[in-house]
Amino acid sequence: MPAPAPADDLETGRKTSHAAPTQRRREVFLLLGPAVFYLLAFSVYPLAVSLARSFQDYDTTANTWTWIGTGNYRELFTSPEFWQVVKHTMVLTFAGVTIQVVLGTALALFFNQQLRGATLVRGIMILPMLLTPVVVGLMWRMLLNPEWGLLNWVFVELGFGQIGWLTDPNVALWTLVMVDSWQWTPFVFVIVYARLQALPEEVFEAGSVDGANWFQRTRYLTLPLLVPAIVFAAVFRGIDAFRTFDLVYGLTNGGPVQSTSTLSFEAFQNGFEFFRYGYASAIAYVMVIVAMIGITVLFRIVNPRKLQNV
Amino acid sequence: MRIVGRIISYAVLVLIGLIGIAPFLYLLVLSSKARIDVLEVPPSLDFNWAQIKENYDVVINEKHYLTFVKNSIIITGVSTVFALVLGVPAGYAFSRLRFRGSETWASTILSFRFMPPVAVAIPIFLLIQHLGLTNSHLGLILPYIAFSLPLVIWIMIGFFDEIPIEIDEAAMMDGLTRPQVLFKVLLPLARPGMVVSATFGLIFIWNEFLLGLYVINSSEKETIPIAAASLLTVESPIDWNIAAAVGVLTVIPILFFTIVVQRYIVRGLTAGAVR
Amino acid sequence: MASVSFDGVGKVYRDGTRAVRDFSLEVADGEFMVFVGPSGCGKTTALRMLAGLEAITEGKIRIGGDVVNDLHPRRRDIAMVFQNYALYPHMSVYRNIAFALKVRKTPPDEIRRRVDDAARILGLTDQLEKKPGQLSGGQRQRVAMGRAIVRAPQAFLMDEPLSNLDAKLRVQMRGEIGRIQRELGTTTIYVTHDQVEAMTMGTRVAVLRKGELQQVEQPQRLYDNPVNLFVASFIGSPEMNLLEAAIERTESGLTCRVGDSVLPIPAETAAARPGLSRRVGASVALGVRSEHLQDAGLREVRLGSGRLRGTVVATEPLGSDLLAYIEVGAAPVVTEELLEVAGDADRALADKLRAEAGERRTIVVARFAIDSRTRPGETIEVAVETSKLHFFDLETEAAIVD
Repeated sequence: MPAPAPADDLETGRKTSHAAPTQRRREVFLLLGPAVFYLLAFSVYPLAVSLARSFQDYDTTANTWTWIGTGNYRELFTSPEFWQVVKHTMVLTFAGVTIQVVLGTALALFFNQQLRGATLVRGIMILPMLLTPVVVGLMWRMLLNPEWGLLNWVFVELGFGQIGWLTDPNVALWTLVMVDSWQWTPFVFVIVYARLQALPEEVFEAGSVDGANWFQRTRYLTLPLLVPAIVFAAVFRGIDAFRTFDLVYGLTNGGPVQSTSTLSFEAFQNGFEFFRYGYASAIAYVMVIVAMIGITVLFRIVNPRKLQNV
Repeated sequence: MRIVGRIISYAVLVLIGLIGIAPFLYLLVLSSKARIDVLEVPPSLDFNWAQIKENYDVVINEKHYLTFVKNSIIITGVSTVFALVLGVPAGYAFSRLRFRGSETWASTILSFRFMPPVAVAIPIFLLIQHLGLTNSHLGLILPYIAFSLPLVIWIMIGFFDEIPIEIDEAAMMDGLTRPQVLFKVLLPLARPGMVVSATFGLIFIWNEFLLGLYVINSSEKETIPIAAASLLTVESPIDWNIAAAVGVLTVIPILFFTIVVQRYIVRGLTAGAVR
Repeated sequence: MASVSFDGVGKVYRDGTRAVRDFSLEVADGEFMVFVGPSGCGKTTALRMLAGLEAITEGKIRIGGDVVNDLHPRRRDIAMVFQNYALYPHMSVYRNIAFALKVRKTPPDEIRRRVDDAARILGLTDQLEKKPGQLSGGQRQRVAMGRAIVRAPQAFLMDEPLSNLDAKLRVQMRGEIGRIQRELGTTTIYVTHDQVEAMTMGTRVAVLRKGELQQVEQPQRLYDNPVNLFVASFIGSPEMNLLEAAIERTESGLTCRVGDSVLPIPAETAAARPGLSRRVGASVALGVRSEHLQDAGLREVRLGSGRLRGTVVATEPLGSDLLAYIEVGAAPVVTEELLEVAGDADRALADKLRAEAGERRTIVVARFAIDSRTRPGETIEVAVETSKLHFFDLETEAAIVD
């Protein structure tokens, strides 16, 4: 068959093939078809089912589903436990992400100097992100054990007194935030640091020659130029933090007294432990809506085509 | 003055390294202790090889740890491979072919990456149950492929975008069809992209356990995270030193993997920010 | 405004590469000094050491009399225009220019006044609210200038500021920069690889090569009295013609044999260069610029006293003159360094030079008066202005004086 003549794509200036439409359609089906079909089966269909189930009630003994309209949702929005869980999730998301962004950026700035062994330390920093959250939970449960945990012991010795890291309902959520930050600050760091390295050196030389000291250069030049990367990392992390489940399961199992239960965890518990599948689906769907808002925000800030990120 | 700054910088560097690795080191140390010694704080550092062997023996033999490793490897490997098989051509299609609504399709597919797993876990579980695939490798492999797909496609689009379209055109002028162009010409060039997406896909699937908890209910088929989850839950009365050993064994594969692919992880995370 | 001095300055990198060697130079207050040389000659490194952007490995640099070796760039009170402008991409033109003042905590009204002044001088008043991404190359270059002039520093440092502009803009900006500098009277150090820029803009020009200063002089003196083969061939366009010649003594005085022809050496020249007498019987490098070669067949023109015989291979009428490429039977002077200069410009040219050297034939470029009727293929007699001959030692490459 004759080769298609390339033409400029007005939108992006890239050349694209203008072969006969039928030929192109065939190509598209061949290449995209399997993937799309697969996603339809295992992503779209389940989401649709979830939506449907969220309007139903499941009877464990009879194994039947009954339509109850907005019953689940009404129960959801009037239940104080639900709003507690929402609060917990918001704390984890906003406080957590803020801490991670601030620390991650500070780390990026810190590593912006010649230090021997920095590469090794950077490699170590990536590790927490990759660990199975259940094991992360275990590690920290051990470190913070009130009787013999090492970190706890250090705190006591330093005179800070006994802190009920995972036993005090008022503290547990913040412990979760702390561990989550331990795991995910490096994520922000990697993104911001890469951007930092890519900034043109000349701009900072000009700043120096113009008379700016380190603080002024950082405040007026470095940080403003890093904002796109910081915002990107923040929104990304925000959406992920919102969905946190694994760490809750591994660190606190929602306790003590449900003080660390997040939306995901709540949905899981209702589904897996109480078998209230309908109710759980409702919770899950609330999350889907929020996630979609987050995604829209993210995609507005940043053109998804230009990314290669996780 | 500059010297003081240097010293502080190195001190901070060491501190950061410690913070990063201390929890794991602690785990390591505790996994070598006898049950009572766990209570000792700070833990002493003289290691008793016999004790270590005993602890790990329990995990490997009593708890059938190697079975879990086998399951994890099979499930993760197969899922990732098929995710690539489906995702690479899709990424290619999005990169090269501009068709009506392609941007929308791409964005929608990418947005699946951000969906809360809980939302799909139950329906998928019910579907797997309906298909009679509970408690089987396939029961996890099938959904896991779907979970990785958006990521693979996303990363591959980026990598394909970097390859100049002239190569495609030259190949087509030589008579190849588009799919042939992909498989014969572009694949070698896209290999770094495939490694990056495989890496992230692997990590994600390896650590996945929410769906696993639903689907697998016999310990024979558990993957490492699921097993760890069952063994290490907050309520279960496992001995801490054994738990630590379980933890260590869970993490060791990841450690090795990281060392090998560190470059690719950083590259994958940073490519987007750098644009 | 202040004087600048380089005192035995050298730069060696950690891996051992040496970029600058024993560089000593005084720039007077208000002077426009140009550093020129081929790429890699160390001119930019020297400038950056002056700015404080590179550490000084050897020697001292003084600004206004004070040694600045250990001073951070921001304390040196110098302004720099970078080759790629280095504008702050996220700031408006106004804030770009104002940045240095803001950092010194200048009151806002004064900032306003000074930035407006600078913008007026550079014609940027209408662009003040725009960001660098919205400006053309020429406008960006002027913003970079604006950043420098708004500060009234002790010295301006310019690193090839015009090399990213198109030819026409470059010529225009050359004049602008010169005018502004004269108006402000600020000491300026200007780096370029373009010898035309160097000759037209500088009060003095310093020629650098492989990290070493070759010669520093006013442009015309540099042109008339190059101190070595490198400077002779680097400065001037077309390049100075270089041929091997043998010095001989006759009853009428010294002569040089160039291939088949013999050129008399005027008595004043011989007297001013006692070294020539010592080289009787030896070969030297003979240099003659194209404007000092004339068509000997012309009547209305004053002709030099020497005669060279050759065959015309090509002519290029320029309207004002006729460039004639003439093959003469003499060996060209080809040293490694000359090959590098040529190689910088054109690889093919360097290979041609090497080939010609073997064959003892050289093509010289002559600038004839436009009346000349000479055509390719003809044999011709070329009149040589013997009082303008240059002589260089073939080994040391230095100009022969004594």
